Amino acid sequence: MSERKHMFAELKRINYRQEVLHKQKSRVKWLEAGDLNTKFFHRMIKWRRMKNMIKGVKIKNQWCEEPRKVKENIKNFFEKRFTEKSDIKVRLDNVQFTSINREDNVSLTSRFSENEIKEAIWDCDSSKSPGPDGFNFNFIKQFWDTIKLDIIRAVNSFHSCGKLAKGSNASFITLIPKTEDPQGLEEYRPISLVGSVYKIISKII
Amino acid sequence: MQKVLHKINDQKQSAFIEGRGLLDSVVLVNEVIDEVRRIKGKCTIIKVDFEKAYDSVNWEFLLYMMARLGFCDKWIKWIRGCLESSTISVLVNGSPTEQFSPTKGLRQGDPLAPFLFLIVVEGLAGVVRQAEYKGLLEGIKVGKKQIPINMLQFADDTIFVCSPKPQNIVVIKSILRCFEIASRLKVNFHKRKYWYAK
Repeated sequence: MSERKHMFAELKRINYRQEVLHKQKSRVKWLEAGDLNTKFFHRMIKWRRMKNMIKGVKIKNQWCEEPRKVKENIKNFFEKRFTEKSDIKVRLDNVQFTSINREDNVSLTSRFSENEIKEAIWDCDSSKSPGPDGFNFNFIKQFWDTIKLDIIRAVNSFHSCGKLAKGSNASFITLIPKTEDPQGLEEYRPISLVGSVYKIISKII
Repeated sequence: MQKVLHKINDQKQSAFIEGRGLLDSVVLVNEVIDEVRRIKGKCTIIKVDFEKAYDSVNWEFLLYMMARLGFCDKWIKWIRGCLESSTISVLVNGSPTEQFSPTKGLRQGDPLAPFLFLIVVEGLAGVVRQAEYKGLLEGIKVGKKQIPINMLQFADDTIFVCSPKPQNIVVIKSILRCFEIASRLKVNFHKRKYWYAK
């Protein structure tokens, strides 16, 4: 009898886990997991996948669906969009600007306290899509006591040398369609997903 | 950073700044139109839109603007570090492409991007202010105190308000051109809206 009870509890736990996972994937915010909404969440996932799927792109007026070609094309397109060699040619040297004073600068560059860091983290939405590191803020909040020393160390090292460790500032671009049935790459909105360490640092400075 | 932005940004800007609301510019435009109607005057309103505003920001210009706005070297070095260490890979149906390092533009989704963008468009506000000092651009005077208004900004949306003289239009156009060369923010001339009140 007690074993049966135990198994039943286990089943319930697994069901709940699965529902939470489905909720996360469906990105529905207004409904909580726990009311056996799995079916609904599942439909939302399917619908999202369909809507956001990139079936192909138009390259020089030619529709292309071959995955490798599409991928290469997308990469080249955005690499071109985000790179530029030229320097600035015109400076606004004659234009007056109000500038911030020394106290402001001191407060901008003062040491980050643990509280400030914690505030920045709790300010982030827990279930937003994670960046390349794969940690969303729910994880960081849950295990704050365990990982807080490491995070504080990372933030302080940025404070003193102004550099980010390799890979901590990597980001993904996801393409959100601007129109119903996008053809060219101009019809997508590029949204970046940044890593959690970078997100924390950029929130405090 | 949020705490100091209101000190440097012109009154014209009303996005993302503490103590300034979403509706501030809307109310102001309304006020201008109302005033013009009341005194049966004329005015020209031009709304301009920047082409792919975030993606085209020139980093050197951004860093130059920060120095001009009095940010200290250490802080500018931090921002440079944040910009230069970034890498991007595009997700195509869930699988990432090879990564590359950007050399211009701000990433939409980066928590810093809106604030850095404000620093960039403060350049435009500065140029407009200068034109106003030199008497090149004539705004519309509003209210009891007759405060002149010539431009309103909400992040990358800009509205120019001026008296309907050809000279004003020429000045605005050259300001925008000058700002484009400096910051690489190109005005989308197809999307601009032009409104002429009698």
